[in-house]
Amino acid sequence: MLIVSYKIRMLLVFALLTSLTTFLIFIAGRIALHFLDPCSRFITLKTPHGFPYPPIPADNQPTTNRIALGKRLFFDPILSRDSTISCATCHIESKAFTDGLPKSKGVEGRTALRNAPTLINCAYLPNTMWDGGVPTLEQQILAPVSNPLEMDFDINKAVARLSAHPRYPSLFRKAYGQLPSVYALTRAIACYERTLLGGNCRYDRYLYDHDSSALSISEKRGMGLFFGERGECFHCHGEYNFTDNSFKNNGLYVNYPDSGRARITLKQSDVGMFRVPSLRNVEKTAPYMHDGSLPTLEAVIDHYNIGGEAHPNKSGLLKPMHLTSGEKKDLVAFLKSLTDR
Amino acid sequence: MKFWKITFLIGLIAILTAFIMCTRDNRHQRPRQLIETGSSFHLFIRNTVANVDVMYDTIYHGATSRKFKVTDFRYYISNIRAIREDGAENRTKQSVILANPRQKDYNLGSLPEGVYNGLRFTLGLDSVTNHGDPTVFEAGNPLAIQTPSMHWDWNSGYLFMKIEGKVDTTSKGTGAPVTEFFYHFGMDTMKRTISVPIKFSVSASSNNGVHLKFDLGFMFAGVDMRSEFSTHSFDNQPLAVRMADRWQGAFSPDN
Repeated sequence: MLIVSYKIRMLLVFALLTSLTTFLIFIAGRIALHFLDPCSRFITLKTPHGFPYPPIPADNQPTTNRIALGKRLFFDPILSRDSTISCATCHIESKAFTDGLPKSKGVEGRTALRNAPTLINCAYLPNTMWDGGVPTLEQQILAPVSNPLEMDFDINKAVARLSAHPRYPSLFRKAYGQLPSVYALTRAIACYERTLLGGNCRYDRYLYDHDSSALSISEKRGMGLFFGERGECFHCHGEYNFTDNSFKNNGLYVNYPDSGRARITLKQSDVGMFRVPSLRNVEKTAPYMHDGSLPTLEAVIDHYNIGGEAHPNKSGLLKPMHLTSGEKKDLVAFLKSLTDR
Repeated sequence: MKFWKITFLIGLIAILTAFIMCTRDNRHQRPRQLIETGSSFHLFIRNTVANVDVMYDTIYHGATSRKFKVTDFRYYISNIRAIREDGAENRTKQSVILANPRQKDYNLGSLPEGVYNGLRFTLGLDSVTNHGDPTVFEAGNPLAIQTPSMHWDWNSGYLFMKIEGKVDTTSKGTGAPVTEFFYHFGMDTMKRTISVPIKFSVSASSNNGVHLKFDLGFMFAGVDMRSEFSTHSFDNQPLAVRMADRWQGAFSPDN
């Protein structure tokens, strides 16, 4: 039996009650923060006119905290082995999230396999990469990090770096309720990427606002070719995002150094097949094709005008178009009207 | 005095509860690895070259009399089923293991009692698991992204089997194993169903297990390691298919 004086007993009770109260306040604070912090509430993305709401995985619904964390990670070179390359190195905002190079540059100046595609409207991709080899945006984050030609890093080591960072652990907690992990890292960046939406170009104004003056006469002629039976462009580059998300061989080569989708499927019939890219903001995404081999929109139109090279897998839609130089200019003018304001 | 003791105890419990509540966050739970309960059934796998156990960095003579050593050797076994005498299949609880020479004993969870005639499993993974997100597993899970380099990030999927090492490629085979070889087997078409006829019984009272052997030498037979020393599956499919087709023969009961 403890023999203690009344004063000490009272002191103990006081200390106990004080610590209990502190904890209760702490818990109440956490609960209140959880329910009251507007940045951890699920939000609805503002989609462009004519676009459906994009499919978003249930475990990665957007919140302001998640988007902010993803954005910070996107622009931070911490994910590359030598801390020189971030996602934003090859996906530059002013170039519609491409980099202006035929093929991107990774750590130590290494040249990547393919051209960096735009990320605008990537929320709508049914699968990712030029060959469709990765099913989700979340899983796609793993690819450039581990690719020796890009960031050349072990994603687990990237997580270790984030865990040792003075700010990231609390940002991860706020966003995903956990310390830095590969799971939360890939989700955060994907969450940010889904906010990169674009659908506010002069063509949209012409179409949805019925503003006839939004397009010039040349652009309207180009539009006629684009959607007409001579150009046939719309078959693959149709719908709200100017792509049908299919894989096509567009007759770029007789012999493809990069087999494209066949690298994933191993099918001979998929050799030279690549994702049909969106044409929104195409003016800003030069150079073109999976390997950036066509430097300008004019070169692209010239390629399609002759119907491309002969290849057994080439799309049947590619035939010589016999466009005049004026018509080519009109088509290019129309493509430039797809640039977001 | 009793009053103070009780007060103190209640206070302590309250503090502990509050502390646990503060540190745990159940909002973001992810799938966890299956935790086995009940009587367990074990699969023992011995990886060998002929009948010699595979150990990393030990020099072996292959079927082509080429000296070689192994530096990394791992493979996924999934969809494991025990075949009953009447032909019915009982699935084991643990559905995926990552076999490797450093581990012989794999706990597959409980299995119904009875007499069995064989074991059937997939070397590789089913398509859904193969293309699933590797970041959703806890670190200890064989499918977790933390398992080093068993996942292809650019063609989302797992390597079903990975074997790397060094081989002597001198013309007469009198040199040292210095040339790197790597055989990476992946993509849905590379998975194989393996059946091993082996009689065993499972009872509640005893330790239950079945012993298998995987002979690397059998898989290498017919491979000219001087020239055929690499495949990532997609870039040298004929070699990958030829070797994968020998997986069935490489497995046998280990007595």
